[in-house]
Parts: sequence; C-alpha cells; structure tokens
Amino acid sequence: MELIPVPHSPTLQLLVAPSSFQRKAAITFIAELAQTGPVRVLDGGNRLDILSLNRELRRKDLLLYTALEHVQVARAFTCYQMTTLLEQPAPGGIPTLVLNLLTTFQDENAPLLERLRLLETSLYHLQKNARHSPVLLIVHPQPTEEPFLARIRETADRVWVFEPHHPAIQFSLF
Amino acid sequence: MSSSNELHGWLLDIYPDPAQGVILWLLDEDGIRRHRLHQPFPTAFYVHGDNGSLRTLWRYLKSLSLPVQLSRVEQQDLFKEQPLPVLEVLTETPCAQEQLFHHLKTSFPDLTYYNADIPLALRYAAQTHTFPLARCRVLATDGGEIEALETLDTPWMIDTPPVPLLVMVLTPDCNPDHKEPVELKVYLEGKHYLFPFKEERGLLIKLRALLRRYDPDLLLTVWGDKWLITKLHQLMEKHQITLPLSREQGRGVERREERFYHSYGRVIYRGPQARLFGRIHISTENTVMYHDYGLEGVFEMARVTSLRIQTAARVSPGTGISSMQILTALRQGVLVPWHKQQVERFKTAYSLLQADRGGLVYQPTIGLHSQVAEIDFISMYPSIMEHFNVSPETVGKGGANGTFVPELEMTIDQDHRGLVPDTLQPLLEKRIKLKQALAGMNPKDARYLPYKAQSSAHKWLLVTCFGYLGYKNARFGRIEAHEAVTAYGREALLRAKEAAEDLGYRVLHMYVDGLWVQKEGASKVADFQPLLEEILDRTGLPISLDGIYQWIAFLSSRPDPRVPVANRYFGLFQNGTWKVRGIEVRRDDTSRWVKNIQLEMLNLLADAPDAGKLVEQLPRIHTLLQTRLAALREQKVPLVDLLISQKLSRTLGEYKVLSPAARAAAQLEEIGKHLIPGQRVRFLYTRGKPGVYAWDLPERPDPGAININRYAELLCRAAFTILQPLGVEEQTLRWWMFTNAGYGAPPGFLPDSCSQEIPLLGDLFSPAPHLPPIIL
Amino acid sequence: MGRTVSSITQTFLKERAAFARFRRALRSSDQRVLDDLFASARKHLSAASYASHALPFETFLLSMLLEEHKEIIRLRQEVAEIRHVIQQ
Repeated sequence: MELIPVPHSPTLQLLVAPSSFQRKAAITFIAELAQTGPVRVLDGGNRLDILSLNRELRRKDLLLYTALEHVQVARAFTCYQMTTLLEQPAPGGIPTLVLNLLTTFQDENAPLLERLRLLETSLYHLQKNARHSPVLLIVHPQPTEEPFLARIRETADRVWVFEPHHPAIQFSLF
Repeated sequence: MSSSNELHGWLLDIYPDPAQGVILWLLDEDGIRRHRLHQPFPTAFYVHGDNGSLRTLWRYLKSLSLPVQLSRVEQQDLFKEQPLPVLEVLTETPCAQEQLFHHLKTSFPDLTYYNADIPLALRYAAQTHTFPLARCRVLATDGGEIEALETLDTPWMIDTPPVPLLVMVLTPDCNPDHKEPVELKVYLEGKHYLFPFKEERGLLIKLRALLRRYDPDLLLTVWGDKWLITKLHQLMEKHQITLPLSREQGRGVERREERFYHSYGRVIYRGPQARLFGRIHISTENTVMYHDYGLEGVFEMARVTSLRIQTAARVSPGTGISSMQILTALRQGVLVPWHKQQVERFKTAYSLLQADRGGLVYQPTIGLHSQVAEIDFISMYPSIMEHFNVSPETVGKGGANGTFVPELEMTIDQDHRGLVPDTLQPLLEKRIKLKQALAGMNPKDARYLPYKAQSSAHKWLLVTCFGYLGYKNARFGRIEAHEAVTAYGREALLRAKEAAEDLGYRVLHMYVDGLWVQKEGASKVADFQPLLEEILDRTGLPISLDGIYQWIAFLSSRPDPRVPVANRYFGLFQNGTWKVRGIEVRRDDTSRWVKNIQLEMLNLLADAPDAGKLVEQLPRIHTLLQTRLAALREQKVPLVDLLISQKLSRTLGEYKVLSPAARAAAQLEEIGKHLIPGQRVRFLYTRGKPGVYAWDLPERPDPGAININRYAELLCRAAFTILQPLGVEEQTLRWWMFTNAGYGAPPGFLPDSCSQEIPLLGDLFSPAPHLPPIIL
Repeated sequence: MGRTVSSITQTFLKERAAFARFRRALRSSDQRVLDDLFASARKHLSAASYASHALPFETFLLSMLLEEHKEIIRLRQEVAEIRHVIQQ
C-alpha cells in the first residue's frame, strides 16, 4: 500500500475501505510486516486468505516459510471471543492487525446493549495496546454497523477512508 | 407425624415448583398408580469477578433481603489450573435461582456467571443419578415429600424392560397448513374416536371425559405444537370448559413462541411449542428426527441426556450433547460457564494452513469394480476423542505423558481424563454393544426395532458432538480440539490405506471414515479379517466391515467424465442389498417416474450373476426404456408421478433469472399462496411458456400440455448414470432411446481384469477407448 | 467454525481461472490438451489437500507430471507388447 504508511509506531489507526480493497490491503500489510518481524493478526471475519498471502510473499521474493512463521493468527467467531482476544497484550510491542472487527458484533443472538458494552471494553483494550505497539483496524462496514463504526472512529488516532471507485463511462469499441 | 411409604416405579416427569422445590411424577410399578412427589431443592449459582465488583454485588444482594445464603468458596473452572475464588449464591428453590440470575445478568453484566442457566432436570440428575423413565425406589411421606430416592438402573443398559405408558394419540384429519381440519381423531387403549371440530362443546366435553377417565401419560399429537393445542385453547376459552391437559392441577400449558435464529449463515426456524406438566406432550412435526427414530428414539434421547422427555423431543442433537457435558461437569464438580469464553490461541499462519482442514476425501477410481469391501471406522470422530483424550481442556497442554497430534504443532494432556471423552465413553460403548447385537439379529426379533431406534438416536448425538466441539457458542468447545480430531482422522485413514497396501489390497476409494478395497481372490468376510486387525493395530480405533460388494460403480462428474466425484456411486452388496449415493434415485428433486425406472434398471442389473455378465442385461434395459417412454408419450403416466419438487433458494424478487421452481412459485403467488425461501414447491414441466405448472394451483393441468421431451431427457440422464460404467456411451444411449435403432450387440466390452480405469487422454488420441488399464 | 483456509477444490478452481487468458489465446486443439492437464491435476486433489503446501499450484503441476508419466509407462508397456507380438 503505497498510499498509507505501514504502521510501525505505537498508534491506533483505522482503515475503512470497500471489501475488495480492504482484503488486498490486509494481505499487503501483513506481508510487509512479516518481512521484518513478527506480526499479530486478529481475524473477526473468518476470511484471512493465507494462499493470497503466500502469493504476495513470493511476489516480494521473501523467504516464504520464515515469513509465515512470523504471522501469528487467532480468529474470533463471537463478540465475546473478540473482546477476550483484544484483552491479550501484544508481546514485545509487535504490531497488531485486526480484520473485520465489526463482523462479530453483528450477531443478533446477543442483545444490542450487550454488544455495545463489549465494544466499549474492546476499544479500551485497543487503546491500551496502542500505547505500546502499532495497532491497525481494517474494516469494510455494512450499513448496520454504522453506530459501531462511529465509536471506533472517535477512538482511533488516525482514520483512513477509501470510497468505492465509480468507473468513468467507457466508450465502447464497436 | 406422617409415616414413610416405599414406592417403586418409573420417573415420568420433573419440573420446578415455586413453593415445593421440585415436583417428580412417578409411574408406579403396578402400572396403574401415578404419584406426584415433591422435594425441597435449594439451588446455587456462582459469580466470579474482581474483589471490588464482588463486594458491590454482595452488598446489593444483602440489601434485597432475599432468602439467599452468600459465601466465598473455591470452585474448579475447567480451563484454569487452580480453583477459582467465587461467590456462591444459594437460593431456596430452582425458581428463585432462575429469577435472581435473570435480574443480576442485566444489573451486573460484567461479572462472570457459572451454573446459572442449567435445566432443573440436569441439576437433579447430577445429584441423584435419575434420568427419565429410570426405575426408582422412593421413600416418601404421606404428603408426598421425598425422603430418599434411589435410582435402580442406568441409561447405559441395553435391555430396559418397556415402561407401561398409557398413550393417547390426537390427530386432526388434515394438515392445518393446507386447510382447516374438520375432525379430530383420537386413539386410546385400542379404541378409536372421531370428534368433529364444529361441535365445539361436545368435542371439549368428550375429550375431557377421556382425559379424566384414562389419565394418559403421554399425548402424542400431530401438528400439536403448531396448531392443535392452540385450537383447543381457543375452544376452552370460548366455552369456559377447562381440559386437564397437564396432569398437575392448576398448571396449564407452557407455551413457547416460534422463533428464528441464525446459525452458520442460515436462518433456522423453530416452531412454537406447547409443553405440559406431569403429562408428556410430543408433537411429531416438532420432534427432531421423529421420522427417523420414533417414540423409542425420543425416550432414548431423554435417557442418555437426562433432559425431560418433552425437552429431549424438541431440542437439537447439539443441545443434547451439551446437556450430557453439563451433567458430567456437575458430577465432577466443575463449574459450568454461562457464556463460552475460550478463544483460539495464536498460531502461525503456516500452522493455520495445516490445521484448518476437514476429513480426507479421495477421488475414487472411476468405473466398475467387482468384489470390493467397504471398511468403516465406527463413529470415527467420537472414537478419536475418546481414544486420544481430545477435549477442550486437554488440547495444547503437555503434561508428563502428553501426546503429539499428527501434522499439528499441538500436544494433548494424557494425565487427566478430558470432560468430552468422559462424557462420550458410555455412549460409545452402548453404541458398539447395540451394533454388535444388531449384526446377527433377525429383523423379526422384538428387540430389533427398539435397538435400531436407540442406535439412531445415538448416531445423531455422536455425529453432532464433533461439530459441537468447534461450535462458536459451545460451553465446552475449543477450535483446537476440533482441529486435533480432524488431524487424527486423516492420520487414521492414511494408516488404514498403508495397512491395506502393505497387505496387497488395492484402495479404490476413501471417504473421511471409510475405505473401499479390493484384492485378487478376496471375496469372503474372512478374506478381509486380517486387514481389519491390521488397521485396528495401527490406529487403535474400532473398525468394521460394512459389507462386500458383488460389484460397485464409482461415477464421474456429469459435466466432465474425466473428473471423479467422491460421493456418487452405486453398488450391490453380496447379500443383495444396494448402497446408492448421489444419483437421481437419491435426489429429492427427481420425479417418481424417473426414480422408479432407475430402480427398475438397478433391479435388472441385480439379476446378473456377476459383474462380467452385467452387459447381458442391456437388451432388457433397452426394452424397459422403450416401454416406459412409450407410456410417457401415450399419456399413460399419472401426472403425480411426474411431479418435480424443488426448494426455493431465495425470495422471488431476488432471482435474476427465474428458475423453474421460482416460476412455479410465481404462479402460486398470483393466486395468493405465498412461499418463503427454504420451502418446497411442486410442479410439472409443460410445453411452451412459462414451461412449468405449479401443482398447488386449484386446477389440474391438461395432460396433453406435459413437456414429453423434457421428461424423456431427464430419463435419459438417469439411465446414462447407470449405464455409463457398463461402457455405454451417451450417444449410443440416445440412439436406443430416441431413434428406432434396435439393440444389436453390447456396446464395447468389459475388460478381463476386474477393474477398468477410463484412460485420461483416451478420447483425444485413441479411437478405441478400451485399452487394458495400467494401474500403478 | 473454522474453514478460514479455502478448500482444495476452491483453490484449484481459482488457480485454473488464473490461466483463463492464457487458455483463451491458445488454439482450440491446444485448449483441449490444457484442459486434460488440469483434469489430471484434479485426480490428486485429496493428496494436494493433505499436503497443504503453501503454494498449492506446485502440487497441481506435480500431479499433472505424475499423470503424464503414468501415461508414458502405459505406452511403453504397450509398445513392448506390440513388439513382442511382431517378433513372434
């Protein structure tokens, strides 16, 4: 991602982007960070595409297996699990990428108030972590996630927003 | 001063009572008397949190002046090394516990709650070892208060004598979804009654008389949860006549509304429920897998889970397994968390790549094979959990004798028996006992059907327990345990393959927990026995010979004949029974006409004495196809046999191109019959536009409008599925079916060797596709 | 739960699709041969899945080679048999 600097210093950054772009961004950031050292990835959407990551690593001509060992992954399938994962501090200040944070908070089996309470707990731990290590949240919000996203925007030190690209009218060939 | 009475009988029902604690209904061993018994049942739950929060909670509870006892105690959390300091809240009754917890979870949401939402039946079972329909010996006062209770049998015996339950069957005369029922049919004690719904008062009075006179233990209804009980309620209110539906006086019907919930991205619909007190209500349409195992299966589900019979009938196997685990935890004194808290441990991306996989599924060797044995691991995944001690709290822990999980960088603690294996062990043992008993049993034996039903109930529980281990909301689940099980499964199947190859067998196919093998000269059970022993030796897992096929055909994918499909085959066992997977006759969307003809074709093939003589049946199959096609053209096939039934996959508005099912649904929509996704729509293929005719339209279609060519084409495909492995090419089959070409000689020939592989590049470079195969 | 890593069949289809443009530019006779190569890779998907190689396309290439070599052995055997018949 030439557009955004790879997070190296302790901050809480938020990247909001359309689905395809955020997936590509996630892969690029992970590959970039895994090149130099360990990186933590918390996946809330069950969609970390490891095979694309492998291709990206190979494209960058990196030591594939060494880089794969650098990437530490844990997945959360409920908002309770996401909150518990975020409570764990990053060892030695290594960078943390959080993918699809909001997906687990859309689970209608948990009451809305409960989910909002858990989001506050999550944000508290994200901020705490960001004092010692770089933290990047990558989300592609659904309309229903807006109230949750608003709270995250308020909390983040820096917010990057990418709008979907509307293609210019193309003239047909024939 | 009341004296003690000793009672013997079967436990029918158990539920909480706000004043008396717990109510138990006992069916006396004389088969006549029913006893209502009660017992005080103080009930505790536990709260964990930081000291400050717990102190606040303590003060708050004191301020409520409720009859509760509070104390600081230490209890074991399954996932913690050391006992956990918790606040014990002891209430006087289960009802009080439920109310207090309901209040606290909203007032103090940040605290961690344990043993807070456990059904009373499980709490009681943990203390007394009772379970539904258990034989009990009870000492009770004249007033019915239990002084002592002893359970005389266990849920794990396979020969429980039948319980003399008095069953009353209630069924409306038609499905209320389609039209309003006219009569209520009642069966009881071999007698049969018909009550018209329009004589409302009469119906209520007669039904009340029957309920009072016979006092049945079980109401078995059809559409009871969904319609009948509601209907009876409306009538009762209208005419001010109360039916004693529940046996407990003053307790009516406990109703639960219908609901939707999301699971794995799908919408699951749960119908409304109507439960009774002291009398069991089972509504067949709302009983999970009723068609699969019947009442006997429901009772077995209740026995092994210890849930009330009415509950066991209505819950999913996942809840059944969860209940069994909760019971194990309670008996071991382990805390049962309200919410799951376990999260995945961090693993490297490379480990995730290795771990996040399912069972091993092979691509079979396409074609026809004779004398093939199918060997299956018995309940493979549960056996793995039991044998290798895979449990959420044992995975990822080493200990002195920890074992390594194959492929994964993970160890399993072997010093402590896991909660999940401990729960599964008796169930697995019972299943294997039943399987062995059934293997040699005459189907006319009185024990055969009950054994089958029990076995079926176990099967669902065991199948589910693996998925449940990885389920996101499972209280005792952990994704690493789930991954360890599949890793062991792949290892076991590969060891089985290696054992087979080492002993000179050829492996034709493997599918998660089974393998299909063949060996020159091996055709009897004894010929495969050494392999079974070798596999047992190498894997440690129970394995059985499912059967020996006289011949079996593994099929290719329909669009590409070079690509094998794992689960599409048909084979004839030596005992004359078929095993068929993935072909038209097994599919829900095949018309009865096509299904029947495919079955007829299989039956003709079954007449061949061996695989080599199958082609000799081709002339008879040719005649069969011609006869059936002629009947179709002459409109002699009943329309109902041509019905196609398909599920709607989305709402009508969401279809970009309307499928035939969607077009049929649109026809129904026009006359005001609305269908939702997931529902089935039945239709006929017709000529011209729109090409379909919905069966539930009021008028019957003109038989002349049927699209003969479409049905002939469907038949052709189904016939090709069966004939392709015999070497018949699709074009040849079309000539047979759609031109007047007579049947001359067998198309091609079967090779001398017992198997034929389709040469990959054969169609490209070789005009004669029947070269002897090379098997490497 | 789980299933973050896409299945071997999905991976295979994705890898094959990545060569759609290559295939399109081939002569139709060559397209058929290419399709055969992919079909032969498909015969060993379960082994490829079990291997869970970080770059699965390498496993697919090896599967194609394996099937090609099987075919060579088969043809060799056949030539030997024909030779044997001719010499008699």
